[in-house]
Amino acid sequence: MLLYVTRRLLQTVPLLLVISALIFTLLHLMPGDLLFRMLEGIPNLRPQDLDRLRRIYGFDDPVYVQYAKWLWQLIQLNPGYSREYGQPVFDIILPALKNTLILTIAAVVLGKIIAIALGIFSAVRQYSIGDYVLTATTFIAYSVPAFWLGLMLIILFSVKLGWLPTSGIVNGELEPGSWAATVDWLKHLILPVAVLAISEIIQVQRFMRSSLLEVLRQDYLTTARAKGLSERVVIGRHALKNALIPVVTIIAVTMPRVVGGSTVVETVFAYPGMGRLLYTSIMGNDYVVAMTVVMIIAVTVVFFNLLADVIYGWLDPRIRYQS
Amino acid sequence: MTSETPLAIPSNSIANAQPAGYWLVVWRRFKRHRVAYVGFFFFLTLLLGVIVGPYLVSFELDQISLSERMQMPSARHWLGTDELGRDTWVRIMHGGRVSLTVGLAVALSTVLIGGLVGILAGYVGGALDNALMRLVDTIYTIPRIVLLLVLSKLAGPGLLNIIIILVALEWTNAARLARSAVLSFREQEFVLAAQCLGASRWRVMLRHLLPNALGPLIVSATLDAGAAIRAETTLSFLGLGIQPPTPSWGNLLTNAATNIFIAPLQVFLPGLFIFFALMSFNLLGDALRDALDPKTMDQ
Repeated sequence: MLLYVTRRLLQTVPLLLVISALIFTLLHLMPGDLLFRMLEGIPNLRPQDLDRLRRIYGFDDPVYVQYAKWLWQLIQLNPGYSREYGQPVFDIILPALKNTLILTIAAVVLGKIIAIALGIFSAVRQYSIGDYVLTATTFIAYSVPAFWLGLMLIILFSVKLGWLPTSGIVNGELEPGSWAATVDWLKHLILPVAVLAISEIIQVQRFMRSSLLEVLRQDYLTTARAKGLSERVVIGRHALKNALIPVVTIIAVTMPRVVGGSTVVETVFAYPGMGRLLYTSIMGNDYVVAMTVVMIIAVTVVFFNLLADVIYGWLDPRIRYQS
Repeated sequence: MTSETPLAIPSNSIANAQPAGYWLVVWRRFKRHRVAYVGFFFFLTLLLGVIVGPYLVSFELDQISLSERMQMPSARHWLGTDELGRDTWVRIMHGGRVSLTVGLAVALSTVLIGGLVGILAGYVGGALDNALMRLVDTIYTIPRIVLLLVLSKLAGPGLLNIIIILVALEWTNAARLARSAVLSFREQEFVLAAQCLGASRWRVMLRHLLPNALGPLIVSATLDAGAAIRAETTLSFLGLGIQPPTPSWGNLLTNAATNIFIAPLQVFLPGLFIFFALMSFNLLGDALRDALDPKTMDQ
């Protein structure tokens, strides 16, 4: 097992290198020059000055040299400065990461708990009216684009009812730290959390249902019932343990979203998180920030994929890894 | 009675051409699926709507009428008007042409390209298979939204660019499906027989392996069409896909969202059409998956 994990960890290194090289090359092709943007507006700057500075800072190096330098800096956790804001990249990313974590953790915890509960209900009462309604609802909801759902909630709760704010995270008129400001901040969170939680429910409810149905057909549950155990114990203690294994895996695989946020939802609600930062940095040619955000997301994706495999083998002894 | 006679059909049609049997069964199973009718109905209605829809009213796509801004639906403007007094019905129908074109073009191309790559990888195997599948894995590992944003920013706006980008990202599904189908058939006798009879590699792949991979590929194409429309409308919504004044369901929504307090209905309508399109493809995909699944073929 240890050998397996080590080997998989080693395999992630070339994968991350390929991803970083690919993204670096793509972003390098984008228009816009870091130096020019820094220096524009200086009236007596001659073109030869620009060339000289470009040489000094290594902007005339071949792409692969620039890539190697950038990678070396990133490994030292010093990815450089944002072109747009002129601040160290991490000074921009960390607040966005904090905002996203608050949003996504709330949504994931809420969404997954509801989804698992609904999935269990659907499976235990298979072919009941409740099951049909739930299955049909999640199928229909699956076809609803997230940005539209977000806008519909804004229309209902902000435009028509006027209960909740449309976007952002703070109301500048309120004193920071006060009770009113905290309530206001929570109000800003409700709609984006709801949209993200609903998409979690749509994905996991079906999965939980089919996973539990699969388990319910197995012989050991008949044995448990034959022993005279109550249905509550049969489902809650015996069936759930096995039914949750694939669900846990799918949860691990979707965890990178917690760090990366959702570009669409954060854009709809103008929520200053990682997803929106990814979007604004790419749109604004702020490629130092964009690269770092992409690499943070890529590392979490690779890490959680590995974690999912390890958890799967640990929870299900029938699976053994060859080492 | 599944494993031995998976293609059993009523005796009167056995007399007909044997190869049609499989597709006949699939067609019957598809027809029995009530959900399939709903999906098919939605899809045909949308398709017909976007083709003839703009001709049903007398407004042009960019016909501005400042005296009729942001109206509610009426006999004159069926779905109301936008902030410049342009007729929403006409704009949504034209936007639908764009969005449905993206969906259908991407679905067709991913199946052709992905199917070919998958069959090639599965049949030839070895280093080619390894290289192609690592490429697929890498594309999967990078979050979809990152590639969508970066590539569409690089390529610039435009219908063809969007289609190319989406095909570049979506072919992987079809490739995986075709590859696994080929892997399960590659060692069977009919392939060996074809090889013994002197069939070339391409003939074995296209004549003998492709038909067996067709089922999963058709399902994948249907779902890819929905995924492509979802991606195109999302990109257009973010301002990266189809650019105004060319309407697409996505950018119509963005445009209307700026006036969400005055005319919320104009935000609701384009999304409703996206929803119908996605649902019709998802319903069709689901029904086709059931119809083509050999595990449940009992009739």
